[in-house]
Amino acid sequence: MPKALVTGASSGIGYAIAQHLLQNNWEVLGWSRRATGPQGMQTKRVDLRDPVSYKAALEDLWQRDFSPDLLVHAAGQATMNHLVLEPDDRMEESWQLNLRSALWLVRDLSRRMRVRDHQSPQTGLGTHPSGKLMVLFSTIAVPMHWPGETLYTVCKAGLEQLVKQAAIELEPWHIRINALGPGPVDTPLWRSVPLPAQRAFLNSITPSTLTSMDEILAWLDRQIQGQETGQIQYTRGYSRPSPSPEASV
Amino acid sequence: MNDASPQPPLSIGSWFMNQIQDYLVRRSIPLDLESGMDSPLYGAGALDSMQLVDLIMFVEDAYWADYGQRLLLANAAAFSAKRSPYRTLGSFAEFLDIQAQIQAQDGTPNHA
Repeated sequence: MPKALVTGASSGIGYAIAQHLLQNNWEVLGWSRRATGPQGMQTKRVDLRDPVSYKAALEDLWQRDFSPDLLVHAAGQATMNHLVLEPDDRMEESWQLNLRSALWLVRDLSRRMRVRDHQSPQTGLGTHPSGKLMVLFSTIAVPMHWPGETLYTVCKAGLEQLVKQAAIELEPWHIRINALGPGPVDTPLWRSVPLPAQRAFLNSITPSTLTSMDEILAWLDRQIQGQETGQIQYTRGYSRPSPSPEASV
Repeated sequence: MNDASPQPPLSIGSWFMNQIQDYLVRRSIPLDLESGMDSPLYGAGALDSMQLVDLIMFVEDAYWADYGQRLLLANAAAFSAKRSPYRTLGSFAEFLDIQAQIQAQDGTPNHA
């Protein structure tokens, strides 16, 4: 049975992915602050903003001898605000959760996911035929340059660079790493955006629709079966002009 | 790991040498070890940087498999040292010994 570690597994994209994997006979360990998730998932409480909490969860992974075939890093926090209005604590939190945690996970999970010369018999040499895969989440807001998304997209742009760089460094260990940048998804944050701004956002992408969870799950399935690495893909095209600042902030 | 895991030996030089030889055979790397612990490990004519990273991971895995203790050998202590602890077999073995003792006292390993 292949194994997956899913961060942010208690809600949103992380929850949906964990549930999808469980339905497809994966063993899933979910990391989240609430330590909840779909039925059948193992859980571990972790706050990825906190080095102590993260380190404890990592140690728990070693003690379980849990070597993931798949890492899905879905934990994250989207924000919308004009850069000049961003307080220090929100900047710190965004960096910690949206980028530093990804750096930590890729660095440290590589040690668990690489095909090891001294693998213990119960762990095996990876149980999924397409090998080891790391999946991170960016946002279509990175190439769109939407106003109000500076802090969030700076972190996500860093994450995209992490994917491109790490793909090269992890390739000798047969670990692939890719990222998906979804368009707007129906979340509480999206619903808090004024309707004119929602329209402006959607009119700047093609097709001009929200990204569904089914699209994200289908993309994940293609990644699991595929061979690509270092790829950043978006759920929507973005050939149209960006909305004006007045329309979205 | 469980309590039945063997404890690390007081001196791990011979264990380390066995790991190096095992690694070089597995990776088909023709590194000259005739100088024993003085043999150059990293740098001109020896391992390149990616091979060194691979070796560090290999030794960490082997230590976990043999002794049930997790080590991080690529840490701040290694990178802030005036002379690289990876430069020769002997310097790496000495660094490994020290790190094993420090990290055994501290509990979980740390990148800091």
